[in-house]
Amino acid sequence: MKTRTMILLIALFLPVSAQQQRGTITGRVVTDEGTPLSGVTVMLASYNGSAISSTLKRALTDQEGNFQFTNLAAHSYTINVTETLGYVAPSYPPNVPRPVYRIGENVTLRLTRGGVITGRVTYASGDPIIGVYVSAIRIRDANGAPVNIQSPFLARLTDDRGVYRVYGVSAGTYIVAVNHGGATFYGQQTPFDGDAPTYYPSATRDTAVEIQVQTGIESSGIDIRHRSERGFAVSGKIIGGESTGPMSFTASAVIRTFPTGLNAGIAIAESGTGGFSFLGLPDGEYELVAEMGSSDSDGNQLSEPRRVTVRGSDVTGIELRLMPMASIAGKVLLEPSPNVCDPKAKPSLEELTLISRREEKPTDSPALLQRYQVVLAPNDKGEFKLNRLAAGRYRIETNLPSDNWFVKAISSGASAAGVRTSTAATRPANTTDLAKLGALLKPGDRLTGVTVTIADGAASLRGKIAPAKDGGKLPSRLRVFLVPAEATATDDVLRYGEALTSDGSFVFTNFAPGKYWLLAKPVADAEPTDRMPSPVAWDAAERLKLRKAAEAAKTEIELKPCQRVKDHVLKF
Amino acid sequence: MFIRTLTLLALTLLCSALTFAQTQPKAGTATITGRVTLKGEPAAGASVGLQPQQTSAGGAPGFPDRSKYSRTKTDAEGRFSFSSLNAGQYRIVALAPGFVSADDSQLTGGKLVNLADGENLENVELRLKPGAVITGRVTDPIGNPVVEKTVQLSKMDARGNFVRFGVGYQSLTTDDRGVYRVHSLPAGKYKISLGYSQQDGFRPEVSRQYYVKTFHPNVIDEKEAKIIELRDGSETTDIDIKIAEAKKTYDVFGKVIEAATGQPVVGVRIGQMPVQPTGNVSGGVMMSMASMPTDTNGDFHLQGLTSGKYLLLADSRYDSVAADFYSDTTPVEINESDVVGVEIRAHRGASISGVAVVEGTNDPAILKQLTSLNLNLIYRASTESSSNRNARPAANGTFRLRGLKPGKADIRAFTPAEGLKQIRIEHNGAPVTDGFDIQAGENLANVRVVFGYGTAAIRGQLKIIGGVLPEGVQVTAIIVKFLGGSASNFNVAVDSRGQFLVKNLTAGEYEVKPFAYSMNRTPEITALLDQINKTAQRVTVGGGETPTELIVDLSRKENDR
Repeated sequence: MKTRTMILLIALFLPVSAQQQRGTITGRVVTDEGTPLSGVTVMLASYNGSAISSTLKRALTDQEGNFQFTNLAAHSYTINVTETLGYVAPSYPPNVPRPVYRIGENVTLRLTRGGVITGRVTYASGDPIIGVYVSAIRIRDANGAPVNIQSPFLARLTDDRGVYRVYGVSAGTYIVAVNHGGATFYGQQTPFDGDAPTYYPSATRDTAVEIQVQTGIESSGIDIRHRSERGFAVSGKIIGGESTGPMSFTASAVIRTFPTGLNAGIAIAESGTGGFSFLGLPDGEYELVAEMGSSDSDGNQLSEPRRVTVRGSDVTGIELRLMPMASIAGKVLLEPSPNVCDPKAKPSLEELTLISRREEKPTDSPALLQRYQVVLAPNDKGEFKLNRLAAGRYRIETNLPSDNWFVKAISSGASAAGVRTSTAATRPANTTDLAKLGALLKPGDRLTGVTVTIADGAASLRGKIAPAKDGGKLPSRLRVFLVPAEATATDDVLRYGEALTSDGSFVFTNFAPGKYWLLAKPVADAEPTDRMPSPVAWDAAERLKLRKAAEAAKTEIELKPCQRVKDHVLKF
Repeated sequence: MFIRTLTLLALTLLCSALTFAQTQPKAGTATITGRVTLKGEPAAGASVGLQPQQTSAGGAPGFPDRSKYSRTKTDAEGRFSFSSLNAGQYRIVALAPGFVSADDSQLTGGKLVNLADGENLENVELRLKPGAVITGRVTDPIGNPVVEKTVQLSKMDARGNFVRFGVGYQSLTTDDRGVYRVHSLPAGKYKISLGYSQQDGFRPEVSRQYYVKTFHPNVIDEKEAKIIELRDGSETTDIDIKIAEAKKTYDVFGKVIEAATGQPVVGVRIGQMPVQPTGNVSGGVMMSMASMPTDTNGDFHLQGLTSGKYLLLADSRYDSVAADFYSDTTPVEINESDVVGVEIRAHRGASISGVAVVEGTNDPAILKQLTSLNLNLIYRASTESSSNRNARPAANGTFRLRGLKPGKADIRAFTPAEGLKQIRIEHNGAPVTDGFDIQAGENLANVRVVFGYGTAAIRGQLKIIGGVLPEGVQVTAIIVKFLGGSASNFNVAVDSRGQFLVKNLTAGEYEVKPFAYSMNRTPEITALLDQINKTAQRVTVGGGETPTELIVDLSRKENDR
């Protein structure tokens, strides 16, 4: 990188300098044993001023597993792998942001050899059932933590012998079912349409036998005898949804069992009547959501999730009303700062990503998790618009391109729930602290004039939790909290941090300098690993409790501007 | 079952307005009875499905509503029956994976029937025979298994040509060991391959390498492919494929500029048309999933193309930002390296705007059908198909077609057999009878596209005389054209008895033509299809139902067997 000291001083006062900086991302794809994987296609996509939409570049790993993407603009990127030859890439829960990569980085992608589940599906007579989907449903991960979100890809058809083979299965605990979600090959009618799922070995959901899948191991003989039990139908219609934009997509209703969150299928509504139906559902609690896509960024529509109980009969007449989705628009400003950690470094605002996060409770439906989180990068002027948001109370989180930056304030000029343009930065008296209060969005709300203020001089803290007593054992999962110690910062939510750790190590980067307390708490075994609970500091009452507990623990640490604290030890 | 998925999808696209389920609230009185036989013997306990087909507007193409389907099982004599049926179009299918239809002329599986009110349709016979199995393992040039790739089958037809063959109830992909297993195949001679060749046309994947199409056991030249002969119910194993070669793919970089100003055109995606080694351009404009709109400099980057010739164009159909543009095609040749500096010249197009209206009814439910119709601007010259545009009327009927290339074109809405029919187009109050001669950059306003909702119908019977259709050739639809107004036409399905029904017509003169289709496109078959598809008959429709016979005489041009 060239030295640009002169330019930098000016750049600090401008939203961005449009210098076309170019660079390379290199990387390597390896197995978890470190063996290189060649012939894997690596896909790079960018958040260039918008939510991620399409694949930008592809590379093929060479004999040593290496790949590279050259001549890249200074943006944020995501990297995915395809054609992984039976290996499995790490999965990310729908409300956990994927890692972001930037030019100059060297990436190592570790894939694990998938496990295999195989067996035979027969009628009670022993005759094979041909052409039926068998789904492997992950219910707990390799560490035994519950899993809410089912991977949609783990379903395979039986062949003429009734044999199925599900491969590329991540380690964990599974149940295996036929007729799960009513999936059929290209929507073909089958002799089992409308039948309730049968779980391995010949069970309902309550009595399904669990299967442990280990990395690279084949679990064979997982034979299923079909119960041929009639399931029930849930039907209704989708209301509303006038399409806008040049291309709109048919409304679909997603149905999920509740509360386990297993995706039970997707129905496409008839475009004339909006009618939809789901077949073959066993008794249980379900949740329905209708959604309509559009190529117009403000054209997407979504219904409220609707809970339905099926008990021994069909459920009809469910109405799902589509409503416009909400958006948050504004600007990222880089504030002139008294502390400049590295005058030579000059990250671009386009390398930053903003993430919308909705306030949610663990009991909230997982059905909409993906509809709450939008990740995008501001444009070269720092402007952003987070759209296609379901209704709810939102906070904006950031992924910053430099450890020297921290978010100083997130505010809006209007009241948080209002939909009114304003010039937030110039009228501090009238601003609302969105970091503290969040932005409450009703369907169709378009919140504008949000300002995300970034400053230089951030500190970071890396450390490890050690047992307070020699030979003591740490809980399997701990949550570490960073809490501002100054009384004036009690409600500065941006100065609160929390990190989940299973090996005791923790990292807090991009924090404002100041005094902090550190606190570690064990995580309940029942907390799922595939959804991220809202940070404790978002809730005013919980924040106060947390602060009291942290104060009582007396583990104060001062982070000075640009300081990089390493190897800090926190006793637990 | 004998459902050729590929064919089915092709038909879905061709006749997108045709089929799919419809709500019928009250029970009717029609019945269907029939028999399922296996190798000529009654098949007891076989599942039979009854699938109502949608003939009016609405319904998402490709996603039939399975909740409207019903099914039954055959008794000890193989008999089945469905009762309390409303008039309408139904498909009757044996739900018997592992078995195949013994009726070789069946193109899409099952029997399609137009059931009249109160009709008792009897003796529907669904003849089955056990399907054959073919299985093997696919390895790459280094000997590693080829994972999650699709094998392709071709089957020899009666004339000795190998024709692409698709099968239902299964995926044709290799598993983690490289093993594939295809079942439910009718007896015959097959070739099996995996990989891509330029003849296949568009390659939807954009990976950095691809396997060169290789036939069992390890040959690229189809003539050297080992032919696999399958008997009914047989299992043929070890049909392995050793992929001959993995080849790299290449990228194309370029810019879209507005020809008149030299300014970049932003936000438009690039479409590609592969040019065959013969020089023909096959199929329409294809767009890779990875195609990104041009950036603020008008720059584009196409990825994962195989060596060969292409025509590229800026295709603004899906991009609202650049919808006012059309472009010239730019030839590109990829010869084992990336291509840079390609320039695509775009032009600001003409527009046609106006309103779509309905005559003959004020029923809001029927008027609402307007917003589900697409108004397509279709160029007369088939080479201009990439310039076609479409627009959907807003709730108040207004529409605007934009980014139009100069040329002769018609506005056509593909309307279903039941519901609104396009009857007339007017410009400034005068009828437009011979389409539009679009001039560069003009903005044609005040166009009315008039739809009618009549009470008349054509109840037709297709008769094939002077021979029988060869295997794999089927008349799948009838094209109906209203001769009184604009150049509008639409398709209706033909049932297994050769019957077809067109409803909601207004009185006037119509032309009905058969639409024959085949997966196989040998010169003889193509000639035969052309011959059949040239047949046309005029029908004068008054009030009520007009019966008509559409006769296709195969003996008029005898050149087979």
